[in-house]
Amino acid sequence: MQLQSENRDGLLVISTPQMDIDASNADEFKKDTSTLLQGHHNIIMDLSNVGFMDSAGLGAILSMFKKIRADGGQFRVFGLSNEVKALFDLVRIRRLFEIHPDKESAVQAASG
Amino acid sequence: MNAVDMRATILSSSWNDGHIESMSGFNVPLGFSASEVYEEGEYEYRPGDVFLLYSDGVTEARNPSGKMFGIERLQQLLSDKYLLAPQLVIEAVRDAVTNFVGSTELADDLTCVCIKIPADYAGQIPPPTGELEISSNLGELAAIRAFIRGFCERRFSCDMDAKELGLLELAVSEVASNIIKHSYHGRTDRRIWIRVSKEQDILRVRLTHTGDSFQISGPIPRPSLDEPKEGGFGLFIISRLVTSIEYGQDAEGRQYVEFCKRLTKSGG
Repeated sequence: MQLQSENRDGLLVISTPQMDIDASNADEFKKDTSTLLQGHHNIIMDLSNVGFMDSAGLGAILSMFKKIRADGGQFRVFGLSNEVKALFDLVRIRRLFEIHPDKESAVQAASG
Repeated sequence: MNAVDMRATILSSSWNDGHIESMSGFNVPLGFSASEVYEEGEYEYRPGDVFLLYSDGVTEARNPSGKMFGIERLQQLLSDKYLLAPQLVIEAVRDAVTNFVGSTELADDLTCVCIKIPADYAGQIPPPTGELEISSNLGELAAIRAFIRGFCERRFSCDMDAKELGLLELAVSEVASNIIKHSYHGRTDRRIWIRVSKEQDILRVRLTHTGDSFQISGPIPRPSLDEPKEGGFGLFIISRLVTSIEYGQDAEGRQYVEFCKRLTKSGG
């Protein structure tokens, strides 16, 4: 999976190619993000290229959150499509981490 | 339906609004090739609709000046003649073409079929349906979602906003995923049949399989996020996104999961 990461002032921003994250590739997403997380404690996940996510994809995002939290780090996401946002709202995931509308907002919150 | 020619099309003219549209097939005629895989299409008809199937011998007939009869002329003819009995519509097409050509000797065969839906047929129109058969492979989930999206976005199907459609795709994808993982235990060599139909404001989706049955029994509580687990959301999501869900066995002994979703124009 061709994930991209950008390191800016101690922030790690991870983005994806145009894709869906579902049961067919959620394990691969989890594995690849896990590799990128190592050594970082302030992570922002860019989901603006994710058109669809199912419960398996949600599980992979939660896996990221758990790893980061266990290391005492911070995790934020931005760029949710309306459909992915509806999924996140259904399981009330805002209780765990911040959801931002765009990159600027997420970076500002992470830098604060 | 493309029984005649690669470019045979269907015109319909509803007496309600006189709307005409064409449908085209891209296959060779039936019987032309044993290996041809025919593309199927669906059209929702209404009382009073008229279907005209014709070969290219109609639209490509040329007058002495070399000008073709053309689809526009045929559509205009149908607009003028659709109230006639089907046989009389066909005779009108034949007469129009031979008058245009200036001879009863035509260069190509002229084939025409006219089907009229009775004006009082309202109670007997079957609901629009779509069917898909796929392998039990998680890689097919995207194809299932595209199938549902395609059915719902066709003009005669559903009036849904993007969010409602997205949640419907999610529900179908989750059920299919559960069938693959839990009914078929991850086997990729099995089949899943998906059927979607719309009856008024109810969308009905049935997923049929030959694996172990699974059921959602009773209300599924929202998984706790206090100690968030990575799994366990699938059944909860399904239970929250559908209006009703039932399980059963069809006449061929296959298991099915069928759920209904009531459509809301204001969004899901």
